[in-house]
Amino acid sequence: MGTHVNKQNALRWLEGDERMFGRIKAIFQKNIPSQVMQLKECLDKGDNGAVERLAHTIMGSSAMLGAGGMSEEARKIELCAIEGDSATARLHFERFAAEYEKVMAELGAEGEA
Amino acid sequence: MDILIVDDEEMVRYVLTEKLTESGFSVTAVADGMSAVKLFRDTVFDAVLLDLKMPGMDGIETLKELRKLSPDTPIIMVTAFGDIVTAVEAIKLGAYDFVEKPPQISRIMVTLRRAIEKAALERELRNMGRNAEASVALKQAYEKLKELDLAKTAFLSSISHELRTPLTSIIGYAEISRKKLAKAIPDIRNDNARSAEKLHQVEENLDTIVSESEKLTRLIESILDLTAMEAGTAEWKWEPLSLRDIVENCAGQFAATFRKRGLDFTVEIEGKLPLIKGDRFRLSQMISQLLANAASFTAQGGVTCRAKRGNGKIELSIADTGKGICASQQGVIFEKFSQIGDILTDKPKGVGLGLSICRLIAGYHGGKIGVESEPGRGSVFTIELPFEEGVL
Repeated sequence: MGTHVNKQNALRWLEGDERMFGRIKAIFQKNIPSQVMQLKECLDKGDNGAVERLAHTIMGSSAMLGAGGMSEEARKIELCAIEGDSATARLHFERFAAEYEKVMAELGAEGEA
Repeated sequence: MDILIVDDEEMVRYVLTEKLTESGFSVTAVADGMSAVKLFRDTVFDAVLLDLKMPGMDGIETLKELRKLSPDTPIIMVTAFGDIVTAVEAIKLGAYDFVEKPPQISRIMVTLRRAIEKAALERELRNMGRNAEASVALKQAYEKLKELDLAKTAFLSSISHELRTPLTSIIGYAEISRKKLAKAIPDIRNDNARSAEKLHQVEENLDTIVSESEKLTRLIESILDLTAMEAGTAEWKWEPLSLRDIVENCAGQFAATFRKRGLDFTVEIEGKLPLIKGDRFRLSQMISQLLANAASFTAQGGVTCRAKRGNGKIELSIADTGKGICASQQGVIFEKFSQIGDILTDKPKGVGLGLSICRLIAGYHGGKIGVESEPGRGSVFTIELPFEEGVL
C-alpha cells in the first residue's frame, strides 16, 4: 500500500486473507472518522477517561489495519490520558491527526485505484 | 463448540467471527460487557474471548461477572499493547490466558482449543472425584454391611450355643424321667390301672418333649453349621473319596423312607467314577439333605439319584416327581431362611437353611449346586464336584 499503511503487517495476522483485509479496511473507514471526532471532543473537554478508552480503541484498530504510525500516536494519547496529562495528550493529538489524514488518504487512494 | 466474543472493536469481532466460524466453531459476538453478561445468563458457551479494555463495563468487571455465572467456562483475554499488567490481573481473577492484539488467528485457535480441553478435563476430574467419593461411600457402606453380617453371624452362633445348652438338659432329664417311668409303669399298672393310665400319658408327653427338643437341636445344629461355614471356622476333613460309596450309603439310609411313602427310588451311578477330594461327613450331609427334601416334597412317583462323570467334574443329580418349584422361588431357594411349602399343607417346612448349607458345602468343594424345576412335574437338583485327573 503506502508508507502509512503497511498492508503486509495486516495480512500477517490475517494469515494472508486479502478479502478479509478489504473488509476490515471498510470497517475502519466507516468507524474511524466518528471515533477521531469523539476523541477530539473529549480532549477538548478534558475527559481523560473517555480519551483513554477512545485512544485505546483507535490504537487497536489502526494497528490491525497496519497503520503503525497512527496506532503509535494514539497510544501516546492513551498514556497521557492515563496519567491525566491533558495538555500533552492534546499535543500528541496534532501529530495523530496528521497521521490519521495520511492513512485515510492512502486508504482512499487505494480504494479509488 | 460455542464461543462468545466480547469486543468493542468491530474489526476484531468481524475477523474473529469469520475465522473461528471457518474453523468449525459456533460464534456469538457482542460489543460490550453488559451484553455478554446478559447472554451468559441464558446460554452455555465453551469459551469466551474477552476484550480487556471496553467502554462501560470493562474486561475485568465483565470477567468477574462471567466467572460468577459460570466458573468453569474458560475465558481468554484479548489485550492491546501495554495491557500486560491488567492481563496478569485478569489471570489472577480466573482468566485462562491472554492473547495480544492484533490477535494472531493461529495462536487464538491453539489457546481456545487448549482452554476447552482443559475445562473438559477438569470437569472429568471433578466427576471422577465425585465418583471416587461415591465409591468411598459405597465401600464404607459395604464394610458396615460386612460388620453387621459378622455381628449377626456371631449373634446367631452365640444364641444357638445358649439355646443348645439348656436343650441338652431338657432332653437329658426328659429321657431319664421317661426311662424311670417306663421302669415304674409295670409295677404301678399292677397296683392301680388308673394311675398307670395317667403315667402313660406323662410318658407320651415326655416323648413329645424329647422329639420336639431333638428337632430344635437339629435346627440349632444347622444354624451353628451355617454360621461356622460362613465365618470360615467350620472344620473340614479333606481326603480322597469315592462318591459312589457316599451316595450308596446315603441312599441306603433313605430307602426305607421312600418305600414307606410309596415312592420309587432309583440310584444310577456310572461305573468307574474318579475319586474326589472332599469331606465325607459334609458330602453325606448335602446328599442326605437333598434326599430328605425329595422325600418331603414328592407325593407320588419317585426319586432318582444319578452320578456321572462330566468334563473335569462329577455330576450328581437328585430328580423327583414332586410338586416342583416355581421360577421365582428357584432363584432364592439357596438363600438362607428361604422356604418351600410342604406338599400336604403348602406351609413352610423347616426354617430354610438346608439348601443354603448344601450350597456352602458344594462351594467349599470347588463345585456348585443348581436346580431345574417345573411346577407340578418335579425338580432336579444337580451338584457339580470337580476332580483333577491323576491327582487322586
